[in-house]
Amino acid sequence: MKRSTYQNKYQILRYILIFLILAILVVVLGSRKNFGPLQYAQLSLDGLRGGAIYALIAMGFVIVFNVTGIINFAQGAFVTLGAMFTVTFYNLNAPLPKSLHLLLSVIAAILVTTCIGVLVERLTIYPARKSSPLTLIIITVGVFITIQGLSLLVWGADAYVFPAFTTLEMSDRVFRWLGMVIKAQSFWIWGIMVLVLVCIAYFFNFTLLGRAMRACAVNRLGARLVGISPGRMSLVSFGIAAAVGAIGGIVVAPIIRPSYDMGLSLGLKGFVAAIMGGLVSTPGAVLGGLLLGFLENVAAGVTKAGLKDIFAFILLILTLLFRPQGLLGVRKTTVETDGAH
Amino acid sequence: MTGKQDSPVLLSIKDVSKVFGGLMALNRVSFDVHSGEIVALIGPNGAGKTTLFNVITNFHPLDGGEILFGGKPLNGLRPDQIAQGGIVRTFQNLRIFHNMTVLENAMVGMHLQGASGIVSAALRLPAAREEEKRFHDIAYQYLEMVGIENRAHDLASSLPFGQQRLLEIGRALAANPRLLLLDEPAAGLTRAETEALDELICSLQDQGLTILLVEHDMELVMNIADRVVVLHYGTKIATGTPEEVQANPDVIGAYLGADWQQDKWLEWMLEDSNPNAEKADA
Amino acid sequence: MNAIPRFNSNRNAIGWFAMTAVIALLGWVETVQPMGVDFADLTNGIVTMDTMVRVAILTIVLVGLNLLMGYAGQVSLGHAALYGLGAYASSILCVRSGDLLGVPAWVLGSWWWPWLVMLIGMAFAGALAYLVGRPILRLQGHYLAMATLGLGIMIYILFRENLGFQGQHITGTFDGIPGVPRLRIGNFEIWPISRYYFFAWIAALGAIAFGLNVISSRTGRALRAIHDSEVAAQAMGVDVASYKVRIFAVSAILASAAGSIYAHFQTTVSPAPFSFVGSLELVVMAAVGGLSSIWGAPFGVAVILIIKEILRSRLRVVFSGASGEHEVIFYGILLVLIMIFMPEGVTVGAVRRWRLWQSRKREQVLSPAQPQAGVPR
Repeated sequence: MKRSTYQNKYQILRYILIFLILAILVVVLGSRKNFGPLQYAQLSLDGLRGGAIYALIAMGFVIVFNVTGIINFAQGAFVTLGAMFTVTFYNLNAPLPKSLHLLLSVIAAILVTTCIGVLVERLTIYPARKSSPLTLIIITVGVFITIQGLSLLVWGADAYVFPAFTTLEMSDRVFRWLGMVIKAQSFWIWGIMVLVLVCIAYFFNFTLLGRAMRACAVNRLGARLVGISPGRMSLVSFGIAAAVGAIGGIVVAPIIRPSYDMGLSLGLKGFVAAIMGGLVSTPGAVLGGLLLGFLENVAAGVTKAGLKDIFAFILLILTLLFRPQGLLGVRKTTVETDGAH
Repeated sequence: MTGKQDSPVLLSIKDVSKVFGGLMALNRVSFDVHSGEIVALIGPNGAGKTTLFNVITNFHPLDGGEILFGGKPLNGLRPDQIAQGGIVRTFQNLRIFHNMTVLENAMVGMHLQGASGIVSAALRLPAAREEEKRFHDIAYQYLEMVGIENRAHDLASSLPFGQQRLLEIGRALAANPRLLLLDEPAAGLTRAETEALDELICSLQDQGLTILLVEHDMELVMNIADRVVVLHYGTKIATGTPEEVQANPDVIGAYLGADWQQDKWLEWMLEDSNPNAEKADA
Repeated sequence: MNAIPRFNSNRNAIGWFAMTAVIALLGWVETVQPMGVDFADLTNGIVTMDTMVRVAILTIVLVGLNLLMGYAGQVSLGHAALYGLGAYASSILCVRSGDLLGVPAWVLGSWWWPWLVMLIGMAFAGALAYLVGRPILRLQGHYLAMATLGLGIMIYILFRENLGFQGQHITGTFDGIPGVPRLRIGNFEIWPISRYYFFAWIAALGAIAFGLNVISSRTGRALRAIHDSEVAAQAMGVDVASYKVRIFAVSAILASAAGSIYAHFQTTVSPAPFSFVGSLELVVMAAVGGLSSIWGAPFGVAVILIIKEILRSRLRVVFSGASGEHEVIFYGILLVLIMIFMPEGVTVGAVRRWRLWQSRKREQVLSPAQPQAGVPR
């Protein structure tokens, strides 16, 4: 009580100190490449764009984890499926104006991916719902690699092209602002991230189904006692996570040429973002995602571009070691109490 | 069951407090346990008894006060170091090793008495083999002490509940403690099993072991405890011999509700049992 | 103290000697080729000496992984990276250390240098695991899984990137490092493959013996106790954190040794086998063989590798034009099925089911069913 508030102040100071040290380090490294404020701004902006993608994927992780307690490794697979299905549908011949065609492809892809998500839950998670966390992790990993392998089979190993939303061509419209280059797709990404966040928040806070899912997350047994079926909640959560993951894959596809293995790296980074945010709430996921995108891009920018993934994992390890509850999470302690359970 | 107030203090709980979030689970609790005594810790559910055990063995760090064992403070030691120092506990909701045999459970209890590590085990050095044999034989004796040696090679999870309780005690004994903390050892046991437990604990005391136990079974407590400490909402409200505590109005109030004195019928009931009759053998 | 049941681990010893005899026999077939039959003919070309050597090498990794995951209960989704550390240590120090570190040519050319390098690799892997393990193994469940996954990928990226050091390359991108020498003792070269078979299997059998001995010891019990209940283990005086780190280091040392043996077998070391998929393959093998069974190590490896061979040779027709990664579909499905239906592994699961079926058959014969209180081994 008294001790903890003091600790809180001390901790915040510590974080500020760490942030300052890192900032100095970045500036020092950047000066070797003659970086000025423009380059940093550009790196930050691009980082925030990547971060928004991670945020979308992280939201999927958080939703499933909150309702079922499972870390769904297959989340990355939904990202891949979203993008690839859209490509397939868009490449079908249809007498439609391009924008409508794209929109319908997107919607169809999201629906198909959601169905696949539900299927995955029923076929693999539900039968194993009583297993240990390790078993469930391995199962979701198995699902991921199965879907990735099937994607390889269906779409081959090549990268596809995907039209940018604004121009409906391969090349995107580019804005210039204060010397920085911003692709139009970036605005789509940020906008859709905010839209999804708002929709999810509305769903969980103001709809009966959403509140039922939250109840399940807080107290599974209690939820059952009032008539909520955890199995059904699990199914819905997987469906929503699949949809959100698919959206993530679709909005990023114009920038990263979609291929069968795009989900691995994106999924992992989405997971890192979720951990950094604290695995407790979708706003936390968004926060984690943006922070991750920003930090990894700046770090890679001042050192070597190929090391971007390493920085992401360094952040993961550091988070797990020093603040496993993430930015917004609460440290959990297991308490063994007298009799009263 | 003789009073041992004059033997040296083995465990000293001084002003111990523990807070969980907004809840004060232990509030400046103080008492001593003398060498060779059996002290019972009682109190209604949620009074903080298991929390006290957790704090003594440092599964939860304390938020105030001090615990001295043999005169030396315990703070900062890891739970396994505390076990090494001679304090061994059992658990309220049994934590036996389900996937190991009964004998292997007891052999884990003997862990601190061995020294072989990975290398000597891998190379099957004679010292390691000797140690294995010794462990095997001595662990078996501990199983005999608690009476479950006939199930030695069965999987621990296949034992009935009462025998699992005995296994947990046997395993704790194998660790050769100076102070044994028993957390509700009689919970879920039948009458016969509880009587057997009674005899076991008394025989342990005869062998010189000091025991602190948490228990709800009042008959067991009255029979075997030298002294009783009563906790209520994390505070110590009474201490004394079982008879003294039984008659203590605060204790009765804690169990029955603070307005018990207003209840005439209750008063009549308690008069009947006459707690102020002859004192037990001191 | 009338009749203390005699304590013995003879069952394990019998199994080990039996296995040694079988391996020796198979090796004899290949070297002597009685009646013109060589090893591959025994299985009509499906299982070759090459496969057997790979089984031996991966068995060494799996023994370590089983000790870590099955007995101590700690997850590792990045073990292939530790395997890769040994491989890269051997290849870099045997091939490039002249340029990089100025190791004189007479050392590089000597017969004992690769062996010394193998030991250096093992020491390095063990030290790394020890250092990294302390903080990481405090994590539970999925946090630990993710940490090991992250570490594994980080190390893999280091293998894959073209890292330079004063103008010289250390690791060699996707193509890897060629030219790793064969192992020699004095002038006796451990090649052709029949000789390497014996060498690899001596190492593998040694690893199995190591695992079996550790399990039935005080250390093994401590590990299993940690797996069942960390809290209770601590209450009995087991220094949980220390044991976890030590077994992690042991598994790293074993993986590194296996990696070195692999490097001298393959003679070109590229990053591909040490990626996340590689770690996954190891987990699948462990799951198939049985996480809590040292015997599961060779069994799991053998099953997966043989199935891989069959898929590659027979099903290429189906997956024509594929870039060869289709076995992952199979791995994924297999993993999911095993984890749902037989999470304790195929060996233990099959034995258990067989025993259950047998006891049910017996129940039909006897009238009152006798409760079975046996100990599954």
